[in-house]
Amino acid sequence: MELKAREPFVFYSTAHIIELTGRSARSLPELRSGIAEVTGSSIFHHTFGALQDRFFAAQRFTSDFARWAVEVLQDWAVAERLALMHPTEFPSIRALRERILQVIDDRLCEGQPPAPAPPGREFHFSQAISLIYPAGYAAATLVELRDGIRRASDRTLFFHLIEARLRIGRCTTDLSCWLSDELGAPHLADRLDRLDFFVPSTEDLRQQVLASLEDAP
Amino acid sequence: MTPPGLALDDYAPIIGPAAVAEIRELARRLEGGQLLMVNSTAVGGGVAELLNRLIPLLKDLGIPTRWEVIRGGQEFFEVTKAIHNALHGTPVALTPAMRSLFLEVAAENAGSLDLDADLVVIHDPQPLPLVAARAPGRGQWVWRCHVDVSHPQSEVWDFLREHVVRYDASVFSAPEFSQVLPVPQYMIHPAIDPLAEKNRDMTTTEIEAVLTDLGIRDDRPIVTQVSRFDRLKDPVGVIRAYQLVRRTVECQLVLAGGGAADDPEGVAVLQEVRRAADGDPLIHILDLPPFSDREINALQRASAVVVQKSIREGFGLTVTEALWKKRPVVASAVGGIPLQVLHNLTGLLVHSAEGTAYRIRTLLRDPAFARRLGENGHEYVKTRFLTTSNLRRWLALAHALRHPGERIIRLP
Repeated sequence: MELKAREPFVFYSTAHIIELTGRSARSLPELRSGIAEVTGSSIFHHTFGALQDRFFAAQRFTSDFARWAVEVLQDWAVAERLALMHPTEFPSIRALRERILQVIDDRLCEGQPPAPAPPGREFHFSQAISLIYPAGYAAATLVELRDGIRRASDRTLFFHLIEARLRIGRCTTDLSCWLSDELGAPHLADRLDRLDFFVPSTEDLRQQVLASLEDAP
Repeated sequence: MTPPGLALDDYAPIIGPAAVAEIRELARRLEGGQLLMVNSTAVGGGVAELLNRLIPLLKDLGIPTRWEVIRGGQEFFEVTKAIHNALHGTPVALTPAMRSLFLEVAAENAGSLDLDADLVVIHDPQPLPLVAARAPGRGQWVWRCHVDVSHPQSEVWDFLREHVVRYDASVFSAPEFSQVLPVPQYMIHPAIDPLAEKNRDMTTTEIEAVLTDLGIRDDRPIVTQVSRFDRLKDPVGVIRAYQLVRRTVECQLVLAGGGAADDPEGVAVLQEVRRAADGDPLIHILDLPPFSDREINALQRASAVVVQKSIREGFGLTVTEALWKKRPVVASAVGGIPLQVLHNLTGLLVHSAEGTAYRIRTLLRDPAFARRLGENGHEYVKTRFLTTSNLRRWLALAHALRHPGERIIRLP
């Protein structure tokens, strides 16, 4: 008999408007100062915002900090370390910010910092204002959940798998919480939590999620 | 102003029904707040083009939207042209008389226009002082600046800034184009309309007919730059690059522009371009009349490579148009172009005539690479720089303004 949740899982969508902070950085130390002081919304936007549309994730770093470090400062080492941050590694944006600061501090301790950016190539800090609203469909069973995943937009997948975890402060992904707490399927939640979100396209991500929800005992 | 009817559902084949449904959900939650757009011209120019496409979609979403155009005489528009040039950093003397005229015309317009709405969006500097007429406690006012004001003539910017700070928020096209302001600043990229005459799909027959009309034979690869004849677009540099390419690769060059007829500087530049072409029959210099959207569309689609070798650039919507048409683009890394042309991914960025030549040659010799860049560029524009993305961002901004200070806004 198919499991039915006590509370349905409501799919949400998001829209973002980018707010400019007016703050910019010309050098790695200035980038560090900015990262230490800007909002958590800014940290999230610059680190994981690009995962929403996943353009060229295989060819260029998705973190804005990493991309600026390599394209403007031409410091590959710090760029690579900044790029290798996965949303599932961090319980909160505070933890993410601390890790980024640590990477930059380590680099600054290693020796001469990279040359500053030329005029016009500064890093501009901005932040995403997120609007979250019901997408208009819900799931009470695993079959319905899979159907919802199939019809979900890029934004819906991004919200449930990445944004809800870090910005809204859900336990893991909110999908995992529902699988575990409402549907009584903690093994599926566990499987979902171990997915790698750094895949080339939204379709790849969707297929990964669907595959993780199959073969339920 | 009543722009022609367009419906959001017309875009479903392009962006998908799910994206259309999401935009509708976002709009529904605005619950009928009235929107007013104000600019300085109903036809011609990028802002009018944008509003002509955006406003019907807002109405289709059930958002009561009006469009008002300010009126002013020739003298007024000479003042606003001077202000525009000063914002681009050109030294301009804005005399007290010019400032007075600028403010007087705004006051006259404030008396005759209906400025009552829940959200009033003022486009560009011409109608900027209208904010003085806002009714206390009524509506929110946003200044949408389409101009790059990052390096303005300071005296003129200080004059404008007094008005900008009276708005609830400002909107710029890119972080690089903005100024430090005490009011919230948001970013909304400009956009192109995939259903407009300039961007709609065309059949091969249609494209060939346009080429025939323009006297261009499709017997060798076409390299095109679409831009008004302006030194900042470096048309002579494009000819230099083409001549370097022609040493080893067969091709022809199209320089398609307009506006030379009523612009003394444009006439001079056109003459320079003709001199540089030196009678080469494979260089086609087209001084197109206004509203040549069909011709531009066909030229871009017929091109093996589209070039935008600007020395300075705003956002660069001609680049967006070429990317949308899956054309491989070679463009200068200036203004808003690097936001669209991701080097080696959606196009190729260059910094000189030699670099332009090198990259054109590469693309002409490697059609598979050129095709890959074109496909990538199309997908990139589809997500970020279409009217529908623009619409979504305006709706998000309208919501955000209702929740000042909140960074995560939950809508019921």
